[in-house]
Amino acid sequence: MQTASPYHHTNEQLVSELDMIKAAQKDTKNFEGLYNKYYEQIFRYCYQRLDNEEEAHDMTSQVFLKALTNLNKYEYKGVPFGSWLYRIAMSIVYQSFKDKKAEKTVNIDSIIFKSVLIDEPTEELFSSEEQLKLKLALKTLKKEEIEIIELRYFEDRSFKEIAEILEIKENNAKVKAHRILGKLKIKFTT
Amino acid sequence: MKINYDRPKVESSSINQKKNFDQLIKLHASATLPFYKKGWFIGTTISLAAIVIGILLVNEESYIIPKEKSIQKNSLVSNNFIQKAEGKITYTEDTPCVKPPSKRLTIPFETYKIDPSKKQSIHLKNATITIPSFAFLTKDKKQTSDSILLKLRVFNDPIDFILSGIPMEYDSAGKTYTFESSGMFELEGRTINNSAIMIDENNPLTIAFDVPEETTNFNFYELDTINKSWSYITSNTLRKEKSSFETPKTHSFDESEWKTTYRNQNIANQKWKAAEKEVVKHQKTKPLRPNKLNEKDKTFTLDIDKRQFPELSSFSKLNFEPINATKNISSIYTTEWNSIKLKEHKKGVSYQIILQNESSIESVIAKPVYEGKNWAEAQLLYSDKFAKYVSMLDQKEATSEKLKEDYLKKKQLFDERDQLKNKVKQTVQSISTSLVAPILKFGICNFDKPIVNRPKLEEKSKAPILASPKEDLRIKTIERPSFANEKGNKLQFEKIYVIESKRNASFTYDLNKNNHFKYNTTSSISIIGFNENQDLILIDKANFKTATKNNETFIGKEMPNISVPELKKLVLKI
Repeated sequence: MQTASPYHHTNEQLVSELDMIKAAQKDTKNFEGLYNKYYEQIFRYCYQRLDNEEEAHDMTSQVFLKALTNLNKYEYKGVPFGSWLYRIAMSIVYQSFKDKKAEKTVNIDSIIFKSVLIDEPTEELFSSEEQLKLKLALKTLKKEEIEIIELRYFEDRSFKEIAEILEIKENNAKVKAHRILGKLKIKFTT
Repeated sequence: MKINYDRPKVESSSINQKKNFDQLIKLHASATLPFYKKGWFIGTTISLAAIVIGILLVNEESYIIPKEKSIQKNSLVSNNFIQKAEGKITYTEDTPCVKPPSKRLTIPFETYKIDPSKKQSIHLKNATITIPSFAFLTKDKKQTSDSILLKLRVFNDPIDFILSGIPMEYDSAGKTYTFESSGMFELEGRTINNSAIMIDENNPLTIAFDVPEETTNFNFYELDTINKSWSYITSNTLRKEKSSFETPKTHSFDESEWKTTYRNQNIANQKWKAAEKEVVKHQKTKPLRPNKLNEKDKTFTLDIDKRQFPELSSFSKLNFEPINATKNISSIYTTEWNSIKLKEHKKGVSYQIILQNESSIESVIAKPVYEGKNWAEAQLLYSDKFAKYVSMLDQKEATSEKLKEDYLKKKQLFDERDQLKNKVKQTVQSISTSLVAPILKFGICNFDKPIVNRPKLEEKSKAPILASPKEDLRIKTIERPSFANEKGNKLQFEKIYVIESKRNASFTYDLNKNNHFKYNTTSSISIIGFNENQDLILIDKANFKTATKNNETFIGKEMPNISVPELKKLVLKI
């Protein structure tokens, strides 16, 4: 069963996290708490977009190294520290596709996403013809559009979380997600 | 774009095992060095200096760098790679203690590029070298973050030992032994900029040679090229540990069944999650209990456009009461409005009333409130809607519960298969045997078992412990042998190498020093020599059984073009 996203924070949690960040800015050893807190989330983010578990761990390490290196440049914006880490992860993952001239990987839970696409609960998996249609439909999307679809429908994140990761307004995230899904639905069902 | 459907999820425990904060801190420390302390800067500076010196030398027509020592294009490894490194002395081909018998038949090095900040492993055919993070030190004993080039070659069998030119004799307390090896290797390392490095002895590399299960302990030695002798390092090398590889032959685990049960439980989980979502979605449609009108003065009575608001179509002259007004709205009840519009605010719950006259416009959020006939109708509608809602909710919850049960059953089935897989892994792992030792320095190391060298004839009486009487009978000694090619021309050897099929060793006989050699008549024997042109000569096996003890002439076949694999196939049948 999907558990509540560990991303969201209460005000008290945000304040306590800010203290951890300030301590880590003074001494990198204090970064351990943030590292432990976010390692799994960042790993899962990377792994969702990659084909290989080892590569995902490698990339996760790169994310934290970059975060640690740039920690003094971090500006608190009233959202969890994780949103900053996700943006670093996004940049590193997409840069690696560029560097390696590699294909992006998309990981889909068939039944859940098919239910979303056909607007009703289903127990059916994607047929080969539907898989081809979906692939072609996803290929027409821009990088940012795929990112929104992944965050919302493959990773089951809230619009608030998506908005904070992508630094857009929550309402904007909602509108974009619905619009992109609409495009996909048309391509998938016709 | 690659699409994976229903890929197995990675367990949190597995993710968390890979966390390594210490390594992150080390990486960060090395990444934040000032530029003049970084490898690329030092390397570039040295390279530039070398280029400038090179140009000066060429201009003075004193080109002293021979062609074969130039940098190879692809590997970035110089041919004179093996040279003195800080803290130890490695050998070159000219060092007398290592003398390959042939320049043509050699065991080549493999080069590996290593990121020193990461723990890595080099997997070879029958050995694994594990390199911990930050295992290499520079001249001044500091950790380096520059890429490392490791040159490695492994010697597995008697042909490798012979061709390596590495002495396989070991002297202990004045007694000479020949090594029977279970694996020998040579390892060298430099930074990518060709700077000397050494292994941090407090954080050494580890080598593990896979050996047959019945293998007993072997000692681990290092070749001391200064003293031209082997130094004993450790004897505790045998490990009967769980290994990471599986041998499918030894178990009946059905991988495809495991995958099928995984897929089934994953699909069942998805179905259950979807049904759960449906329940939550339906709960949001729970009809709201109608509100009875309290203060008529503070409501607006409107005729509803039944096409625009079908949910209110059962009512006529319906009252709307403003809710949670944040501003003082008392004036709106006393103002005369020319136009009143109703808009949906929150479906089935609240509406926006827009009031307008020539001079102003006001908007309030209001809920429908009922009185009289409307109240009775609203209650009837509510009861009907609520009954339908509850019935649908029951159905959806029942479906969800059923799917949950189905998922749990399938999960249990998968968990059983998964446990079986792990058990099978453990069983297989427990039978793996390897010889393991730390690599503290670059150079040549060997897992060996010393075999007492067969005594010279004249020593026999003085050294009875060197061979059992039984063995003596099986050992044939050939005094003053001579060798000829197939045409009858005499062949001259400095050394000959005797390979016995029962030993993973080669016995070297220096014919100039002691003009004899020995072999075990119960083994299949191969004898190899090299002529003055370093061409390989293989002595005809037909001679060995009939050979008399003295002055026997052995016929050798000259094989100037044979390759190492061909030689192994011919002699060792591998």
